[in-house]
Amino acid sequence: MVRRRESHLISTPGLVGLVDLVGLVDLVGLVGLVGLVGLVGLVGLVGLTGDARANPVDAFGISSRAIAMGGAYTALANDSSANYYNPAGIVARKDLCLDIGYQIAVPTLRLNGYDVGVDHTRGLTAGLVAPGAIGPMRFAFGVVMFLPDERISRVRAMPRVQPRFVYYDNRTQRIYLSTNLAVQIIPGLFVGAGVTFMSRTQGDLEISGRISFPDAEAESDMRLDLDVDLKALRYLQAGILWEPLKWLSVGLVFRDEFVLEMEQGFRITGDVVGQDGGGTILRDGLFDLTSLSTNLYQPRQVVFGVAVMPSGRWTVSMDMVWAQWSRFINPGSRLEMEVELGTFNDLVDIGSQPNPPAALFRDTWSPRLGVEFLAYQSNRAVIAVRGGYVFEPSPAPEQTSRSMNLVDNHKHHLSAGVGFSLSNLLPVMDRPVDLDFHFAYLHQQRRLHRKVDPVDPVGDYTADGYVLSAGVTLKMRFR
Amino acid sequence: MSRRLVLLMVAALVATLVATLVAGLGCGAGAEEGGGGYDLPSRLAGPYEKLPDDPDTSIDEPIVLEDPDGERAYYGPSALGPEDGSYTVYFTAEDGDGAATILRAEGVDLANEPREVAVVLEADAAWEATRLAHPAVLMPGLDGAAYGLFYEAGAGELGYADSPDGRTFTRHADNPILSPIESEEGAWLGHPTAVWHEGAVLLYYTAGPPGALFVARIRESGGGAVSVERLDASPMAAGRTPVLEANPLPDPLSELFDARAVGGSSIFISNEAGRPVFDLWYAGQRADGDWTIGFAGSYDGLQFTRFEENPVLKTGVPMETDPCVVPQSVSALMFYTHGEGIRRTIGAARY
Repeated sequence: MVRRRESHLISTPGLVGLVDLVGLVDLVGLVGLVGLVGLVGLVGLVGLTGDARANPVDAFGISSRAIAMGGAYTALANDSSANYYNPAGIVARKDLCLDIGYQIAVPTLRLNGYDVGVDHTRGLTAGLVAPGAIGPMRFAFGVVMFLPDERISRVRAMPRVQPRFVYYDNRTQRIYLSTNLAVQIIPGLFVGAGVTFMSRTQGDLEISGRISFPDAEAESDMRLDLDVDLKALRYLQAGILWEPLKWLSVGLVFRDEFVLEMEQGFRITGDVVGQDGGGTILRDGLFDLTSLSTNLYQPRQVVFGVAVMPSGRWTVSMDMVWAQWSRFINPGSRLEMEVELGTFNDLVDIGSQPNPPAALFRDTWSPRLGVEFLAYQSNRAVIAVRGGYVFEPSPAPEQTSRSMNLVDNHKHHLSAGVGFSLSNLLPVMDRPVDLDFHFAYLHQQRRLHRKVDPVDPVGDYTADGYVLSAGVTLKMRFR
Repeated sequence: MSRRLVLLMVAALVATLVATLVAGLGCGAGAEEGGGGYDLPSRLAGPYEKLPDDPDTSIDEPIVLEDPDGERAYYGPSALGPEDGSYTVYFTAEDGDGAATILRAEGVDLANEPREVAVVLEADAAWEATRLAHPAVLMPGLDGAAYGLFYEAGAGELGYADSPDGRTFTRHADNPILSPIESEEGAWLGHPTAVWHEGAVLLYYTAGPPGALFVARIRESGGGAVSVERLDASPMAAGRTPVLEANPLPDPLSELFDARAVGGSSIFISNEAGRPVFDLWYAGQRADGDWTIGFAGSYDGLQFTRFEENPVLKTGVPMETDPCVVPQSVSALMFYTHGEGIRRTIGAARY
């Protein structure tokens, strides 16, 4: 007799929190809202929330203009992509903004010269910024998403020693959704914060009952319980945008750490009884196995950005990104096993699996540079050309140990793009329509990994490769 | 101007969408299973699985080479390839009287009988007596020859021959190039395997009894002459230390696959990350006398560490020895001597 039970529990504290936050606007008024947003940001800044962002956007960016400018967008973001680059930027403009686009990134990542087939990432991007005001106080609500067109999310565990490009792997294989609220504190100074959530999977399989001996098929009576929970995790980001001069803006963004763990339990309990009334051989036997692995990790980040517009045609922006990779957790599974077989304990040796070693990743500082030049301007049209460069140092050390192959390289991003902005395109559209394109080449600097153990089953190897990406974004604005 | 711009925008939008769609469709093949795990680096150490029985082939897997008359033993393979899906295998053919010659099988495709089998070297010189065995082919050979061939002969000495085409070999004038030094090696030498390293040939060979692996460095010294330097795996220790010997732990009656002796090896040097890595597959003899195959690795070619998961060829018959591994990027094929009773043939296993 087998009993099967499935339960799916989804709790959404992040979403509830956001709804509550919006609902509070009428109650607490202007001062309360400012204080609340500031408090949310402060909570994030001091790191009291244990959850944070994990998404393909960190790897490849979002919105063609931002990507074309190397992602140096912290001090420039004022469209729906500000939901990622700087939540404060969503309130910097007074227009309702609706963006839609598509982007794709195709990696060719090699070990010993062979492409290991890391999955590409492609999907639809969409964003919305809805501004509002309460008296003199301006605020805006924003949302942006990346919706992959192949899979919404991927959870998988690989053998501990299997080489993997940790920077990509599961990281880019998921939906990204960010919601933010921002307010203008004084003209030119904006703050914003975002709250969203991701799902975490926990599953348990339990088999219990009676097993007959020696023929297990004869008189066994077992029951199977399967219990899977999807639990929501909150994560937070916050930002400040300051525009002290018409030609100068400064931004500061915080994104918190995010750990997506996968926990699986397997438990067998029961009695072993002799066949044909042979009596109980083992009472309350137990085998319990719990596997806990890190499916995804995103480091805590702080980004400082400056943008200058030295003339009406030029915009130059620079970001410096600090990422706390030193807290990276080895994705290898940690196993806990418990066996209770009474008098038969001495006959069983199931060994032990040591915990995976520390990954020993380092914090990184990554500079980003972006340039935009307005090549053509008229009353009805503007054409902009853009370029960007990013250096992303690898946080991972050389992989010398036998049980660890967390591959990552120094990365050089080169990007370019073009944008068209048309005014008075349609009678119903009284604001310009922007169409931006981007192309990017990400070069993975070749790296050697030499093993200490002369019989390491993987052996020495080199890692290199590149990622090509492209995309388009259509931006529509309304008064 | 604005009309042109609109057309340009629409054209660019369509082009980008089409390009991304085409790129996406073209690259979507591997996405369903979750990529990132193809063609991963590996030492190819093992385990090796013998070729499974296939009723559609004309061979008796895992055996790929056997005497069609069933009178001679085939053993000691040394393989080249693959080329056009097949291998060229040099091996020993020994009759019931112990007389042995070296043959060359062409077109070993793991599915059919070889296209051609021919004698490439027979005992001729006095020191060779009536027995040439355990060929080890080397490309290129010494002194610019296209092919080199080390072999075991006579009572246990090593000789060398070279060839421009791999079919017709000429013996070296200094043969035998290596004779046993009984005080440090034993009474006989055999089972050579050779590899180029830093402008010289490293010649690994078995000495016994009971069986240990030694190495010598062979340099070209001009005019066709060679110099042979025996290497010591532990120069600081007293006497000459082999690169690998019978596993001393924990006791002679243990179940270790190489507790009694080691021999019959295959050496390969990889250089994936700017330094040489020595891969050595070797035969080990258990305390009960059965042989099978294991793996050891080294960074200097002298001091080898045994693979934790030895043996790498799953046992099945009492004698599996003389490994010859042909690496192919992320996979490998192992030819080996497959012995059942008094019958010896050449089998194959894949990694």
